[in-house]
Amino acid sequence: MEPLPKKQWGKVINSAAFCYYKFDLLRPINLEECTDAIKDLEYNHDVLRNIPLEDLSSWWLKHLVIYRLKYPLAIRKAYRLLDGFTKPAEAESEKKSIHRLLDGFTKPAEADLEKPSTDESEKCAVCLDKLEETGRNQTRLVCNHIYHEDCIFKWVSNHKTCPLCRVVAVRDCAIISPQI
Amino acid sequence: MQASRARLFKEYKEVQREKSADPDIQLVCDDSNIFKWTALIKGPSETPYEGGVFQLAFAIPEQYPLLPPQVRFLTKIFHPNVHFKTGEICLDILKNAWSPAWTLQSVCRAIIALMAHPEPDSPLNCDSGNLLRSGDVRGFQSMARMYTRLAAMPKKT
Ligand SMILES: [Zn+2]
Ligand SMILES: [Zn+2]
Repeated sequence: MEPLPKKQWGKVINSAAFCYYKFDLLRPINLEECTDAIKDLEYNHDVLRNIPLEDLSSWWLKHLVIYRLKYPLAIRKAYRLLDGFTKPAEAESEKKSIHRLLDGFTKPAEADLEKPSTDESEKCAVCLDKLEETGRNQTRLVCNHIYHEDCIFKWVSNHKTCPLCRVVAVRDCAIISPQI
Repeated sequence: MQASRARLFKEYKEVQREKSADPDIQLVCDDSNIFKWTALIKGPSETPYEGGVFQLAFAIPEQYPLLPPQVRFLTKIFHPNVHFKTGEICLDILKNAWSPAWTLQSVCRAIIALMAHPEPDSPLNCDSGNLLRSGDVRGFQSMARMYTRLAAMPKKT
């Protein structure tokens, strides 16, 4: 996942970047993606500090970061990050509610953490079929997301963005990176 | 048509398999038509919708997932982004921000998130939007709670 350019974070709410993250966190994710999201957060920490907490917390934190965090490791990181925010006293209750939200996640067994990520990532997000086994041509977009060729072609011929991360994947209706 | 049917069938199997994964969402496919689904979603806690169960109707276009499903509330709800009469929902991902990577299940999650975080600046229900925009959170909440009680809670006998 590409980190967002810093200058975009000031208006993260209602921006395209926001949609990107909202989207990303609402779909099922694996641990790797989870920690990537957190890494992005840390990367953008300085900028985030300057966004009023009430903007940040209600839409952004709950939705984008915490909503889909299921993993203890990521949750611990989220806590740490949360504690790192300098915030006015009146934001304390908001912070508490975020903490409550975090507490609400059921922790998976350690064994689940060891497992390699589920086969979710090996599915084509358009048809939900496995990428392998089906013997169909695959296409890797510039963002490294992989789809069946015919599946993604139908989408990008109208939208030009990657369905998973919304990176602009094509210019002039041609997929930039060649077939793998 | 064939592609959408295959994809919906995949989602159907996923829903059956993961039935207990998200207790707040219950998605059901019509017995005779895979392009018609309904969902029961629980009102999120610490909102005026808490305790209510809301029914959604999905009408899925033949071009799905290249086009988003049409979703509306069948249960009356007082919410700035839901049309009070028709149940139509104003949500970006159901319109221009749609992506085929969304599923019916994740759309339900997004709607639950919208219930918890109304966006009064793009109101379909002006009364509700105006209450919030004028800062009358209490007024909004009591109206929303009243309609939740009236429409979304099982009647005690
Ligand atoms: Zn495919
Ligand atoms: Zn991508």
